[in-house]
Amino acid sequence: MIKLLKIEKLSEGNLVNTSVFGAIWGLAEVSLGSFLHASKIPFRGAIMSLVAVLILISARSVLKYKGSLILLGVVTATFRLFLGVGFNITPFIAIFMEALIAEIIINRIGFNRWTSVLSGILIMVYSLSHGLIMQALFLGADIYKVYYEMILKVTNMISLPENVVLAIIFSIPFLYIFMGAIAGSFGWSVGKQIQLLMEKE
Amino acid sequence: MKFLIPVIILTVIILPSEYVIPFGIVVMIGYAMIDSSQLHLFKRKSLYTLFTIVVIIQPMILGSPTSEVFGVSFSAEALVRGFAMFIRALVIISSITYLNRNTEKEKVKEFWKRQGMENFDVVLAKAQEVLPTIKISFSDSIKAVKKEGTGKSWLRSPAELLARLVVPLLHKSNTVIPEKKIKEA
Repeated sequence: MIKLLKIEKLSEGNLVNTSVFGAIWGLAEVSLGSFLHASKIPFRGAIMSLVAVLILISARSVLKYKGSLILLGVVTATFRLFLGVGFNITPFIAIFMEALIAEIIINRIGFNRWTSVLSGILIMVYSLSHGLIMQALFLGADIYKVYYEMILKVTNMISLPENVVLAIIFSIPFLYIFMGAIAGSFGWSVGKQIQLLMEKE
Repeated sequence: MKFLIPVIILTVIILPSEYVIPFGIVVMIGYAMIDSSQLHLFKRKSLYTLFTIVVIIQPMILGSPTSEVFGVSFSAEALVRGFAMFIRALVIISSITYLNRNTEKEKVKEFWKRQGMENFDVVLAKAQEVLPTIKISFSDSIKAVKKEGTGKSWLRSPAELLARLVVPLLHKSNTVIPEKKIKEA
């Protein structure tokens, strides 16, 4: 069987720290994720993705081995699968994909504020498309037709100009990108603070 | 049965709307016969919300009205489309729930180990172990911040606040874990 990756045997420090970040992310997913799921708050996926960006980027300042973010993602996704409330396969996929994106960007380009921002942006772009992909998978591609017709109907009903509707629709990805960039940069700052505090101790 | 589920999911995704409905009904009857707990899915409110949106509301407001029932006009094409969407979602959710329920944690661990994550089970076990400590540590730190009345200064440097929450939980050295210890974990 082809192996996805090879993570060497971890040192005690890496093992404990990966577990700690996995538990923090898992806790956020199980508590905040389940709360958002139950409360049906809009953009809950985006909120959880911002949490993911923050944890992944700040964790990378401590977990410096290759494949660390994937391992972190897999541990958290497994947590969500077995401990989360509701239907857990879509968060499982999202968590894994988010970790994979961060791992690829940071491993390929390096770890600095810019790659953290880039990872944040790409994770949020994935987060936006994740919802659309999953809806098409679960409900069929017809759901896009329904959305399109619904937008047309609503805009005709309230007689909104086409430009305004397009501006509203296109502002959503920009908002996701903007929030992803901020979360990535903030995650990097948290990571730096973690490093500073660890050096002091 | 487990091997059939990916085939069922793939079929229900590929099939055109008009074929999804009979196929999905047959699959759902099959699932109910194999495992009656699969019917618990119908207790979920979200399922009825989905039904209301895609099967009832959607045909009334979308598409050109072609039929009428009790004075309510609706599009028959949109009704078939909505019903197919609902059945498709029902089959996929049931299939994955069945797979999820019948997959042992050990097999998931083995799978990730086979993919090259040698320490996956140790990390997962350790993460579960530290979970209560993290909960206590977080609530203690937040209480301490409130008590000290330094909340406002923390707001000025939220990155430091988050770092201070995490650092006490982290391991500072990088010594290699003995083989015996890994096996014990």
